[in-house]
Amino acid sequence: MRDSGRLRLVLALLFLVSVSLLAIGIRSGEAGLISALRSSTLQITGPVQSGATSLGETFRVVAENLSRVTSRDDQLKALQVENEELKFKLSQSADLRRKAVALDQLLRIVPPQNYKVIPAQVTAIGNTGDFRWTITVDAGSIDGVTLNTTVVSGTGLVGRIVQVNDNYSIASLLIDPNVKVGVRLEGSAEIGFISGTGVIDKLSLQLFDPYAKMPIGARVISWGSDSGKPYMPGLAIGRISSVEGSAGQLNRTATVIPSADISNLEIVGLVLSAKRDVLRDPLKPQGD
Amino acid sequence: MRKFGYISILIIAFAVLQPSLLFSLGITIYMPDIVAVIVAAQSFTRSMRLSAVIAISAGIVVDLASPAMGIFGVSSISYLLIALFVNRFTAAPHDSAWKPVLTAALAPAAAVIVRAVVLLLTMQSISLSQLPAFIGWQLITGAIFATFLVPIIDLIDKPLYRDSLPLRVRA
Repeated sequence: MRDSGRLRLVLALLFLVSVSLLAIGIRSGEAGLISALRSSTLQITGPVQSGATSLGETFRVVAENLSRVTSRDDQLKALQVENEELKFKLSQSADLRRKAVALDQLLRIVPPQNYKVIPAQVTAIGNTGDFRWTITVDAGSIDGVTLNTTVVSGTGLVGRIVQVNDNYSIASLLIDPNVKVGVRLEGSAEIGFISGTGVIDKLSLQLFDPYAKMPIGARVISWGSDSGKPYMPGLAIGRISSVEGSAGQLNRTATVIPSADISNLEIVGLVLSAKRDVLRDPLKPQGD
Repeated sequence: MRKFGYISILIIAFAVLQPSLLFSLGITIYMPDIVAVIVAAQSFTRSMRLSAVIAISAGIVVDLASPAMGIFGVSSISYLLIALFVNRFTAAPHDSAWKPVLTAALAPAAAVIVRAVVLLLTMQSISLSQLPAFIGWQLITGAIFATFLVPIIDLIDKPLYRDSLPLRVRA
C-alpha cells in the first residue's frame, strides 16, 4: 500500500517535470535557453546526420545497381557484371551530374554577379515530431550564414534560416504552418501573404485587397524585406492553382503550388547578401 | 545502469539518425519516430518509474536533436503517456509474441496524436490536414521498426532480467 502511494507520488512528480518542460518550451519560444541548447546539440548532431545522409545515398546507389544485377540472365552474367560496373560508375557520375544541374539552376535563380550565394547539402528533415517543417543544412556561421538568411532551391524560395551553428544551420520551410511570407502577384503586383499549410504541395495565399483578381496560374513572388532578410524579393514561390471564395470576401484565399519541390530537396542555396540595386529588381528564373 | 544503459544509447542514436534515415535513402520525407518504438519496447519489462524516467529523457533528447524547432517538452509528455500506458496495460509477460510488436508499432502514431492534442491544448498552431499523412507514415514505419527492434531489445533484456522481472513472452 505504501509502495503504491510512493509510486503515485513519483509518477505525479515526473508528470509535473514533463509539464514544466513544456511550459519552459512555450515560454522560451525560438530564443533563449532552449535555442542555445539546440544550437549546442546541432554541433554534435550535424556531422552525424551529414555522415548518415552520405551513407544513405551510397546505399541507395548500390541498391539500385544490385537490383539491376539480380534481374539479368545467367548466360550474359560476365558481360553484365562488366556492364553493371560501368553503370555503377556512370550512376555515380550521374549523381554528381544531378548535383551540378541543381547548382546550375541555383546560379540561374540567384546570379553570382548580383548575389553572394553558397550551396549547401540538406542533411536532415524534421516534421512529425513537432509539426514543424524544418531542414538541417551543412553550412553555418563559418560560411557566413546568419539568422534569417534566405534559402532557395533551383526552382524557387524554400525558406529561411532559424538556427545557426558553426558548421550547420536549420531552416524553416515555406510549407511550415507557422510561416508567413509577404508576397505579390507577378503582373498585377497585388500584395498579400502566403501561409504554410503543413502539406508539401500546398500553400495558402491571401491578398490584402479583397477585390483583387487572382488568376489561375498566376505566379506568386516574394515581396522582400529590409536588406533582403528574411526573404529576398522577387523569388518565385509558386503558382495559383485554385481560389476559394469570391471577390469582396475578406477570407478569400487561393491555393498555391510551391515552385520548390520540398520532397526532392538535396542542394539548396543560401543567399548571404545582394547588391542594393538588385533588391529592387524582380528575379526571373529561367524555365519557370 | 545495465538496465537502461543500452536503451539510452539506442535512444540517442535514433534521435540523431531518424531525421536523415529514410530521407537520405530517398524513401520518404516523413521522419519516422523510432524513439517512440524504443520507449514502448522498454516499458514492457521495466518498472513504471524507470519507464517514465526513460520516456521523459527520450523526449528531451528528441526535442533537442536537430532539426527540431517546435515546442520543447511536447515529446516528453507524449513519450511519458505512451510509457505509462504500455506499462499499465501491456506489461510482460505476454501470451503472444505479436502483442508487444503490435503495441510498439502503434506507439509512433500514438505519439503524433498526443503531440497534436498537447499542442492544440496549449494554443499552438498546427495544421490538422497533415495529421492523416503523419499518422499513416508512422503506422507504416512503426510496424517495420517494431518488427526488428522489439525482438532485439527482448534479446538484450533477457539475461538482464532473468531473476528479477518477467520475460516478455510467457515460456
